[in-house]
Amino acid sequence: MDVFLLMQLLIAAVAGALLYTLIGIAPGTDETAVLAPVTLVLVLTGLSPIIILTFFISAIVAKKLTDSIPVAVAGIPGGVMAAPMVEHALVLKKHNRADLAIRKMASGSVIGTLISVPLSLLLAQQLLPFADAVRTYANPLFFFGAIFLALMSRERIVSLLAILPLAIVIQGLRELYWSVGVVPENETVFTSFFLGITIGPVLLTLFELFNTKKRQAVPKHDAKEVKLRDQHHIKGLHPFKILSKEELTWSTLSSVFGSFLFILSPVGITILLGEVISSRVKDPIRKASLAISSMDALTNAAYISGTLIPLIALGVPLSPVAIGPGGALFNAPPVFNETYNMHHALSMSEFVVATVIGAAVAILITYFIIVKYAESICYVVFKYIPHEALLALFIGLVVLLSFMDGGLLNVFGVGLIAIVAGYFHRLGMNYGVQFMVLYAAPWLIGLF
Amino acid sequence: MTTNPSNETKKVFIEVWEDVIAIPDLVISVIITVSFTMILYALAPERPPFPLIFGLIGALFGFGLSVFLIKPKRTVTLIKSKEDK
Repeated sequence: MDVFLLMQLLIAAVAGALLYTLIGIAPGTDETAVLAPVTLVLVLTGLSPIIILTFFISAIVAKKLTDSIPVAVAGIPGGVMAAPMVEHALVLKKHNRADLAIRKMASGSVIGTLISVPLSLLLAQQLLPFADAVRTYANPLFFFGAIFLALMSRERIVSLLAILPLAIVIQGLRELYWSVGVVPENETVFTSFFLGITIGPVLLTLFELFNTKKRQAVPKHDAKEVKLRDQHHIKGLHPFKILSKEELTWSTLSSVFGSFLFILSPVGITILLGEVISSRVKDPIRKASLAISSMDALTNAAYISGTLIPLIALGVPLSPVAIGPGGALFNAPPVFNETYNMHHALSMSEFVVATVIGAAVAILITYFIIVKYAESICYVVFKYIPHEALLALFIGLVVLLSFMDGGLLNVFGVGLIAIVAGYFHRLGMNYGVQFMVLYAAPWLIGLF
Repeated sequence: MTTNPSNETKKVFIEVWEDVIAIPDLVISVIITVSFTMILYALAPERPPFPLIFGLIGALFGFGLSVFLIKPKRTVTLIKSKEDK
């Protein structure tokens, strides 16, 4: 490997870690919604795949390290996956131990990363012999993936019943574009539909505000009060010393679980395992620390293995993380498609190099530097970045990519998909199921 | 152009994505960001990846301008921690 490439990888890793440290702290940012568009854009600009993977790995490690920080200092989840931890973090906050919460969570994250990186690489290698079979049956597998994830979700019936209607909307629009002629017959609109699903829940909420009655009925709020506690006495960040033996054991175990269960929804297993582990403990502070450290370890592990295993072994995004936040690594026409994507572009050693550099840089920067200044960063983000600007930025990105995919007609087409998918999402059909449907739609509609 | 968050007696903000916003401010920032994005996209040379990159730069400009023009609807207080153990 030459020095120039190594420099590029380091720059990509640093950029990913810094950007997603800020985004991770911004409240309410959904992992899929913030990771997918940026990755997509990087893929479309034609950057070298190994640089993009380094950026992506660094981004997820940094994002997962930091999205628990606002939970600890302000009780506001920095991301959807941090939401299950709020309850436990609030216990620590109430006992004035927010600093402890940050250290426990961050240490849990580090453990999760350290365990899942080698484990995912090993698991991926074990799965390689099955790759051809999986690829041959990829389309039905996406369909069964949708059914499987639907059955695993809380709202089974809604999720199952909504599969075909969503596929009809997606494939129906594609057929319409071909017959009207806004998209050439040999091109399939994918990217902007993907973003439409991603932004669905938010867009639906915003669209409803155009309705006079809904707008008046929406609960009104005061300015959000955020109380930050000065944490500058956090010292001595050593993940193996911060965690007690019990926490270390359970963080390790849950990371292993998380890596093996890569095919399941990370939020689901986090809630499930976190509760199972912490329910054995009575003392509130001990219980909360145990829960947040092992949950953070688990989400990290699930994220990394969910990305790496399908990417390295299969080349087909058969996990909720791969198909959601990591979607652009598998399918981003015209750069990547089902027959040529990052799986085909990189060799095993390149995967290892990108992952190790990405994870190491993110841990170094985010863990050792950012965690120390957690409350100052939170202060700046909360004080100066308006939520409106973030929402507008995402809407801007969606409009741009929709227009590039299929002109003005597609801007409204993506709006339609967003509202339909957003409504199904509200009723309980999660992203995992919806993305599986997006992939399975041509095959599924072709059955009729 | 900004709504003053000190106007706390009247509840005027709505919650979207786990945080509160003011509708007029959101409309303004969406208009700003989308216009900047699409104008720069239209100005870009035809050859890919320029339209995408120009569009992104436009989006970031719009974001920057929105951050500058609109006040966050949060009151942030920093509590000095006592010497807790």
